[in-house]
Order: sequence, then structure tokens, then C-alpha cells
Amino acid sequence: MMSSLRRTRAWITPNKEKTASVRIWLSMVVVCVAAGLALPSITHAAEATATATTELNFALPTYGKSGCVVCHGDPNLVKVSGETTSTMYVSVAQLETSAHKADLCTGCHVDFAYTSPHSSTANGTDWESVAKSACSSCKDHQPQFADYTSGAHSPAGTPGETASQTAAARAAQGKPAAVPLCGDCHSASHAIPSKDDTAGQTAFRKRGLEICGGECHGDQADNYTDYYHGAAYQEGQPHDAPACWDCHGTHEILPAKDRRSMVNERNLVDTCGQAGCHIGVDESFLEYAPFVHGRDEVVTLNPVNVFFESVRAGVGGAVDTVTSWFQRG
Amino acid sequence: MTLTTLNVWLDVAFTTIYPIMLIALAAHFTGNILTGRAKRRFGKQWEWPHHDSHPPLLPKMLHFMHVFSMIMLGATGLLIRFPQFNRTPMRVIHYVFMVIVVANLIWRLWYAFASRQRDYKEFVINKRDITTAPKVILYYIFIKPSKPHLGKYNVMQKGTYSLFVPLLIIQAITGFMLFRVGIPFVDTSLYELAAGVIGATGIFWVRTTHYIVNWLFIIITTIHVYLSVTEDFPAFLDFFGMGGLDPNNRHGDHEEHPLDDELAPAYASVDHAQ
Repeated sequence: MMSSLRRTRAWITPNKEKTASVRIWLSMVVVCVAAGLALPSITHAAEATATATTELNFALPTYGKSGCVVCHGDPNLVKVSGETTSTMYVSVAQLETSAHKADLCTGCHVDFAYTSPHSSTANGTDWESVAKSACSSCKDHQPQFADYTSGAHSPAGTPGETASQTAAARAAQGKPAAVPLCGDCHSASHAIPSKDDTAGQTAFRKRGLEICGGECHGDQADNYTDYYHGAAYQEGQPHDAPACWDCHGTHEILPAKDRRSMVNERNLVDTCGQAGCHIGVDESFLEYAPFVHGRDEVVTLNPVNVFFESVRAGVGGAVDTVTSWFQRG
Repeated sequence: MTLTTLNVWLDVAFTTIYPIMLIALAAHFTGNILTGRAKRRFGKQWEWPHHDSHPPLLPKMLHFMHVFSMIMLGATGLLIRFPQFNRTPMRVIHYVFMVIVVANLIWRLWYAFASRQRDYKEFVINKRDITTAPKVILYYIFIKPSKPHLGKYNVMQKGTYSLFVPLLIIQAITGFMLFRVGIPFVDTSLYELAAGVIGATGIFWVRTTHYIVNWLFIIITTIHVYLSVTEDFPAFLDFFGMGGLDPNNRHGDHEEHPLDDELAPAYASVDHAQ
């Protein structure tokens, strides 16, 4: 019996040691493999920290200081407010092709750093407005922001006006109380195209009527139908015809009555004659200008069209009358 | 009247005239039916004007290219002015057929005036054409049963075909003045050169003229196609290579003229199709 136990122990002991040894080796291999796998990420994170403003990988939770994409990279992330459900999803792929791919989320969403949950910003400011006007805090966009604030879309309204007076004046004109912010025109969907992104710039030009029409200049968007400008633009040919801002200006947009406005009478020769447009523009050519937004009206008031319209109405009325006789009978 | 109002008037006028013209052509064909002309022509009698010879092959080919190009130019021209989709492919097609039509015009003018077969005399309106013009008109409005046969074309045909030449030249010149494609090796285009001379307003007038002539071509071509089919269907088929024209057929709605028995001039009797 004893000899049997010795044999067994002798057999077990070396095997136990062997098993432990295997385990140790396996552990080392696993550690090495794990280290190998983790090394690029660690290296990348180290590099990323060093060049945080030029390279961004939203897939890394610890990267970007906020790790927003951990939640906002989920396509199913929505916000329910009353009966409205809005997506809170941010497409990393879209961000990667945008002009701001190197920027941090908190570069625009300035009040959101480290706050969780963030139903409102720390100081109670509307987070969307903060994000949409965050361009002003970037030195690259200072000139554009300066132009914007001196134009008709300035949040300041008319000099001397209070914010509430501005809102009331805008409401009286049928405009939304809030002025358009940078993000309202330049897309708040995280897809602001870079200057080199031809397709993105084209897509942006195509959205001119949507951007300027939308809730604000709907009538002007609808009546932009003249032959060589509006009709072509309405058919979605952004580089074949002028977008709204080609004539009305980009950031310093002013009402036509303002002498500095691109569409003020005194500036129309330059506006129509700008590079890529008309050549040899003089005063006589400007008689076309009202037609750009006025063709529909001229067509409607044409006597022949008025005649046809009255005939059509008359025939339609007669048909309705005759039809009604049969309906009665 | 401002340029803009004029342009709207032109749209209104032409888009009103064209349907009215189509109705008038339908009414005319009804006249053909009521007077029995249609039955005599398209029925068993197959009674069509006689031809001294088959139309020569070269002008026939030029005519075919011209018709197709003009249809394409008219359609793309309207789609450039009234865009229904991307104008760029319309412009490309317009430019391609513009080159074909201009080349065609030069070729046809050479054929008419400078080639061995020069046939310009067939298009010249002479004194007898003018004196017999009322009879031709009366024939077309069904008052007279036949029209005088003085040559290959009647006075109205001669007038219309001759009108095509200046209209084509006007259209070519105005078209080149609107041509924005850059000239090779020169950093400019014909449009830029023209606009530099006549200014933006001048270019607008050029564009308006081009538009008017485009509509004239559309109207004239439509009438031409209608009359070709209803007045001389065998020749119409022959022009499109489908045969059907018999030079020996001496029937038709034309008065036999003493000159009919004279020998046809050389330019008319050469049968190039053989």
C-alpha cells in the first residue's frame, strides 16, 4: 500500500510541477500577446495625447478627453422629449471626412467637458446655440465671425436694440425669433466639408435654398426661378448657377436697401460682373436684376397668360356647373 | 419693353403659337381627308408628285444629318433655357451637334455653289415662281386641286429652304458668341471675346436672338416634316433611305407645264443615287 502511494506521489509530483510550469509559460505567452496587442493602442494614445488637436480617434474611450463617441457613436442613441424623438448619434465616419476632423468634440461643445449627464450646460445656456456659434472661439474663423456680426444676421440685431427688441422685430417680419447661427447654415450635422472636399462643397452649395429658404426666406427661395440662375439652380446644378450667397454675400449679408449690400443697386454692376459670372456688365444690364426673383410674377401678369388663366377658370367653372346639374338630378 | 419682359413675351408667344400651329396642321390634314387627297395618296392609288430623278446621295445624307442635328439642337436648346435636369450634358450635346450642323452647312453650301453638281439653281426663286405663287397657295388651302410644277421645288419650298441659310448663319454666329468652352492654347473663349466687345447686355440680346431663331427652326421644321409626309411621302421615305420613290411615276397633283417636257437641266437629271 505504501509503495503504491509513493509511486503515485512520485507520479503526481513531477506532473504537478510540469502543469504549473506550463501554466506559467502560458501566462507569459498570454501576457506577451496581450502586451503586443495593446502596444499600438498605448502608443497611439501616447501620441494622441501629444497631438490631440490634429488627430482624433473617437473609438478610444479615453481619447478626446471626453470620450463622447462611447455613447454618441451608437446609432441607437436617441433623446425623447415629449413626443419628439431626436437622434443623438454622431457618425465617426462623417466626422473623419469633415473639416473639423482634427478637433475635439469639446472644441465646439464647449460646455460639455466632463459633465455627465448633460441635459443642459453648466450655466444653463442652450447647448445647441453654444455649439452652433462655437466657431467664434476659433481664431481661423474670426474674420468670418466679424463679418457675420456686422451683417443682417447678427445676434445683436440693429445697433441699440435689446435682445428682446430684436426678437420682437424678427417675429414681426415673420422670421424665427432667433437669428441664424453659424451652425444653422454651415450644417450642425458634424459634416462641415473641408475646402478640399469637392463633393462636400458641392453638396453644401446644393443646399442653398434649404439653408436660406427654410424657415426664413422661403418666398425668395420659391421665386428664384429665372431662366439662367434660379431655374438651373432649382434643378440641383450648384456649380452651373449661383447659390444665394453668390449674390447676397456669405457672412456679411445685408438687406438690399443697405448701401453696402451686394444686391444694393449701387453694387449690382460689381455683383453681376464678379469673376465667373457676366462680362462687360453696365447699368443697362441691371434691368434683368429684378427678374432673378421676379420671373414668376412677370409670367403670371402676362396678358396672354391672364387670358388663358381666365379661360381655364371659365371652362372649369362651366364644367363644374354642368357636373352639378347631373349630381342634383 | 425691358429685356426680361420681352423674354417672357417670347416664351408666351412661341408656346402659344406652336400648339396653335399643330392644331392648324391637324386641320389641314382633315382638309386632305375631306378633299380626297389623303385617300388618293395614301390609298391604293398611291398618287404622288413625280420626280425627274432620285435625289442625289450626298445632299440626301447631308439632309439626314441636318435633320437629326437640328432636332437635337432644338430640344437641347430648350432644355438649356428651361432646365429640367442637369444642363451640362445638354450643353455638351448642343455643342457636338452645333459642330455637325456648321460643318454640314459649309458642306451643303459648297455642294450648292462650288461642286460639280452645284444645285443652287433649284432654290432660286424666279419670275415664274412669283407669278404662280398664288396658285401654289390656293392649292395648299384646298381652293385649287393642283399646283403648277415648275421644277424640283415650288416657290414656298424654295423660299423656306433659302431662308434656312441666313437663319443657320445667324444661329451659328450667335451660338459661337455664347460658346463658353475655352479656345485651345488661349486663355479665353468666344463668349469672353464677344462679351468683351458687346458687353453683358449685348450678350443678352444675342441669347434672345438665338432663342427666337431656335423657335423659328422648330416651327419651320415641324411644318416641313408635315408637308413632306402629306405632300410627298415617297420622297420623304427616300430621303431617309427607305426607298419608295419612283422617278417614272408621272401622276400627281400638279399641272402639266410645257416645261415639263423639256429636258431637265444637268444639275437635276444626274441620278447620283445610282
